[in-house]
Amino acid sequence: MAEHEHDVLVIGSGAGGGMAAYVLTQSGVKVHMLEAGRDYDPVGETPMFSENRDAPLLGSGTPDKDFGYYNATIDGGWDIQGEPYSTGEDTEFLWWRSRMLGGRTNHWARNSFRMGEYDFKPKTRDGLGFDWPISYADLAPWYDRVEKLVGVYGVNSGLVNHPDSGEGVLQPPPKARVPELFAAAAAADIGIPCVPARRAVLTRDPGDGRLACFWATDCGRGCNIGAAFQTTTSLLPWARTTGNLNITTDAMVYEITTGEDGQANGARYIDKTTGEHKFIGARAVVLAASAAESARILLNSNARDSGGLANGSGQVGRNLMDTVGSGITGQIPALENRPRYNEDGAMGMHVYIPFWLYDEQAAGQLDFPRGYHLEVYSQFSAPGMGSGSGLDGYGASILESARRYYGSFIHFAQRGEMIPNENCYAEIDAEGKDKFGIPILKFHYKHSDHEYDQVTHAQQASIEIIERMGGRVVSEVKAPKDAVAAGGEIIHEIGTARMGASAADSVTNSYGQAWDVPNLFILDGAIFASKAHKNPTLTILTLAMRGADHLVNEMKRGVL
Amino acid sequence: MSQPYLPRVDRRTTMKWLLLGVGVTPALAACGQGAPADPAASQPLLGTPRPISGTPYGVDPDMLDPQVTWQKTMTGPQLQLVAALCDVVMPASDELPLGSALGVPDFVDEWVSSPYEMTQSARTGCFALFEWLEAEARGLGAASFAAARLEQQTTLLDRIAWSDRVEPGLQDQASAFDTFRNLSVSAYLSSAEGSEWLGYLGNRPSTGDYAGPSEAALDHLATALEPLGLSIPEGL
Repeated sequence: MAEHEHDVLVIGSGAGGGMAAYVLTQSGVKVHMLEAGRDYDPVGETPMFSENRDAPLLGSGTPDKDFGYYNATIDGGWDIQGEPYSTGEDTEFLWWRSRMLGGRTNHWARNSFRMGEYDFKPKTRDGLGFDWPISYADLAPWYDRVEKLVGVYGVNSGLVNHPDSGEGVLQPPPKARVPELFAAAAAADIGIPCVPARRAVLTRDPGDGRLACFWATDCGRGCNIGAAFQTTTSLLPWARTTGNLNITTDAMVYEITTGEDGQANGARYIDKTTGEHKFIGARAVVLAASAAESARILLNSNARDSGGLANGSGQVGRNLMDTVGSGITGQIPALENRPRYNEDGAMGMHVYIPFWLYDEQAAGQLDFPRGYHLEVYSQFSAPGMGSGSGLDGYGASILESARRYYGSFIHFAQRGEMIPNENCYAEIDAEGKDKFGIPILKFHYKHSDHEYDQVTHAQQASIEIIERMGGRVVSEVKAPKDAVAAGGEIIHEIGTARMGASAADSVTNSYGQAWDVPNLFILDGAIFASKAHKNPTLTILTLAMRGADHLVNEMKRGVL
Repeated sequence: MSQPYLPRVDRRTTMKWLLLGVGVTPALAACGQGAPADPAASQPLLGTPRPISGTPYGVDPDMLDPQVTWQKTMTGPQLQLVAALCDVVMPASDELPLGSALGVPDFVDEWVSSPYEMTQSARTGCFALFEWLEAEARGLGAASFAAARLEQQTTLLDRIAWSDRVEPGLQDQASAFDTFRNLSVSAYLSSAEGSEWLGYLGNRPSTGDYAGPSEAALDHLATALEPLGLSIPEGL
């Protein structure tokens, strides 16, 4: 094995890559990280407190900035010029990318729900999908470590399949706001729990340079005080402090190379600043470019003729899943003209509705096999484009209407589990290449009745709560096939290099270590064996911490 | 609006105009000069808007110093009509100024002039609406919509502004007006004055725990819940 200035190459700087780099460098391992996007420093670049009125088009989303002018997505979004992806027949799939240091952790919602006991053994429970090779008990201590390190607010609710955290791990959640209290009261009355949400937002100063939330500025812009977790204000600077991390940005990786022994020995990438093709060697490689991009790199790697690197199982690119998403909006007359107060809070959710029907599901009383949660959104939000929508007529009355209805709408967003199926996968497009000449991905995606039936249930539950609040539904209640978000649209795509108990039907073991290439660790959402309804980032962080720790141990043992 | 509307020039546009070498001459613009003359074409009543120019702001704009990277394209007469329309849509009150007083016409111009495809349907629809309003106002004997009496202006709006009584054949105008109303009211309420009037009290940092709802807000909630047989839940 050739000698390198570093030991491990980490591809990607988001949740998986950031955590891997942190764990490795803390253990004294020299790491070189490659990031496809540009360098990015939230401390100097976050538009804290900037007003919508000061941005072009009131900050509205545009093809340049899909989620709005101030959103912390740079050189990314649904489409990147010169970096297309294609879709198969009858497929609608959206692929969000963030070409920047820290990746999508810079803008994510920070919703951080643990997967539970049932979530790791779904096939055992209902015969569908695929079991993980680990149980919740295996991951529980790692969840504790991650939550403690990252900073997650919430409470231990003691609900089935919504695990409690260890003693003293969670930070106190912010108080619920008026619409959240209203929704919780109505939901409880019809037997639906509504509990404090869990989000990776600090409510206490951790003493590591980051600060507790000061209750202003949309987390989607990023957070220059580090209260809302992103790798660029935490894991990456901490890793750099060790002196063991070098980062090369604008490095578009397209291939992981292997030696004659079949082990990974480095990666080839394009230096986007010069267009040069470069190679960087390593003793071990951590791949965390995001689920789809990681699959693309594996499928494009030097063993492509045989189906790609680490693909003896044929599962690379398969089992593509995303969260099942839909939403219902209501208007609540009792919330009209309510007293004003500063309702920004932690910007995102303070409460949510966890799935509450596991027993009924197990008893066969539901017509869908997997759960969902409802995210609750309603507040006096910053005025912007849309503040004048839904009005009728003109004159003083429309302004009074705008003021009367302000803060009286509530939105319930379904976030549900999807079961992997053979129609959902990504492959290399036989013809398409991006501007770098790298073969592109082609996505295939199709929901099943499992997802559609779940959407119907979530819609009905949302409507029941709205009606119990004395409100009326104001969004169109579409048929499930039309209501469900497109594949990828919830930006929770996972599963394209799933872990498992056997090399025959999975790509990695439970540590993200590729069966076929033992010094290659895949530590992003690609290794998920199922897609619980819980938002995946917390679990990506946790699997990455556990996997990187295993890599360190294997290196210390001299196995790698 | 008794005086001609003068376009606002704020920080985020001034720098760009200077960079582009665009002169700021509202008096000329108000007269509609500068529009290309084409004697063979049928002249729009409000003049011919400049074509879209400039570039999108790109995928990596300076978020700390936002700049509009395109020029406004509306003609002077269009801008005057928009200002007058804003004043009818958002009349002054004891608490609020006229719709045209908060830079809303400039925002409408910014929107319909942007080089994004997403705003172009608004451009097409709004420009057709403006021409229709102008023609109808003149048909009522006014020199222009902007110069028309308030009752003449409202007579026209009453044909398109209310969703349950749109005059047959005027659906396109009604749809364009809905777009215009959303653009203009959104901009109005997003201004510092509009935002304060609406009652947005956020974007202000505080230390310690989040204060949560005020006593008045909780009292109001308790009162709202009672007839529904509900009460404020504990522990949240």
